[in-house]
Amino acid sequence: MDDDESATPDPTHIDVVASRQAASDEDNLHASLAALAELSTAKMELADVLTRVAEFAVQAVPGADGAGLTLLEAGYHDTIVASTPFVTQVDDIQYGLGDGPCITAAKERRTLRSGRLESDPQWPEFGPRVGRLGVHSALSIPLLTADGVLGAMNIYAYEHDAFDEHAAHVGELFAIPAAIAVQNAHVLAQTKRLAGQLQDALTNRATIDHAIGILMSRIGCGPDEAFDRLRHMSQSENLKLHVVAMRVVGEAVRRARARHTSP
Amino acid sequence: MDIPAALVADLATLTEALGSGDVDLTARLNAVNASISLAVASWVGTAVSTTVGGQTVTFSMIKGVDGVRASLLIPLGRHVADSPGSWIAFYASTPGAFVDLAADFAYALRADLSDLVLDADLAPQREHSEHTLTNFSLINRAIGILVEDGHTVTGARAELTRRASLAGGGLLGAAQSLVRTIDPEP
Repeated sequence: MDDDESATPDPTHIDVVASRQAASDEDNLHASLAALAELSTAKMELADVLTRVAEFAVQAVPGADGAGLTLLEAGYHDTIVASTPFVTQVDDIQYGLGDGPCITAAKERRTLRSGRLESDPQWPEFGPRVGRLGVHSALSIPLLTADGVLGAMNIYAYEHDAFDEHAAHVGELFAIPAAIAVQNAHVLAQTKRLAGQLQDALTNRATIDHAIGILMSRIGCGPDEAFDRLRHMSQSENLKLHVVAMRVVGEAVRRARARHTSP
Repeated sequence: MDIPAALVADLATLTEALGSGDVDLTARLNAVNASISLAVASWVGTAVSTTVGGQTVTFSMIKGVDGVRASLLIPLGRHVADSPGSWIAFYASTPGAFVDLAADFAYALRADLSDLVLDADLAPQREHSEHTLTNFSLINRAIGILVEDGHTVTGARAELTRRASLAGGGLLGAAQSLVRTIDPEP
């Protein structure tokens, strides 16, 4: 064989390899999207659902070694999850500094890509620190809905320049249904949380109203005065209102039982 | 959409009863509404119902009740302990607004689509007007009066039910009559 010919890449071979890689990437994307569609939040906490989404993102995006996902919720702590421990380390640095690709992607609502984190001028403190962890590439994609940003998805790799335009495009394709899955999981989680808290509040309120009725009957007062007395007990004894109410009810029941059993 | 003042007052009462410094039920409801309004552009209202001690309380906020053209009711009994009848309902002004969301929720809840009730509650306020926090409190205060009279809580509920049956006026009427014996001007 001619040495010159062996040194020159065969364009046909390159096309075949590229084509096979593209097909493989597409299979991975489809598999991840299918898994995302079947994701059940029935018995999962929200963080579990988000973690699964992050894991699917690793499968979908070529070159990814790990992924993290941040869900922003106004007035509450952000929910931050990771598919693998090294991503947790990286995101701890990011959120500790308050600066990094995920934060920037969510804030600016655009995809960010870096192949040389350790020297990337966008994040002069974050980049070198994660570089020392051996993480050199990042792909950060905002999770968007029609009316706002839900959060962001962070995909990391140990290799330099791990994410090309194709990877970014695949990530953005994945982010669309991911945002819907995250949004729906979030709505369900909020709904279940609200229903549970209303249930707890009403249970406590029932006890408080029992105590109000007891005091009304005992003292011969109206409900406002009875409630004021409960509040006063709560404040002076530094006990929660429903705890004081439980005590009032418990004492009344015990007195009633004693009356029934005494000769 | 702002939560109506009366509902804010009820939620403040319940937030106080909850006794948790971290939870503000008004803020929680606002958060649910904000999220659902992102998912459904024509969303116009939310209702939540839960049952404690056999008493149901329903909170609702709907902008333009007569303009409701779609609804989605999600039973929550499997997800909220001791409240098999709990549900949340969302309302919208566009017909069919919840079809896609219902399918997604059914997947997420591992429920059949038929478990979620689509478009069956298009006159919400007319159905829930008795299940108020005020009535809930009145009945429980009557139970408290009966506890002071010598009943256990369970026995007091049974006694109130018995009195309601005798009077033929329902549990609320029996509670009102009993409370008036202590506080003639409630």
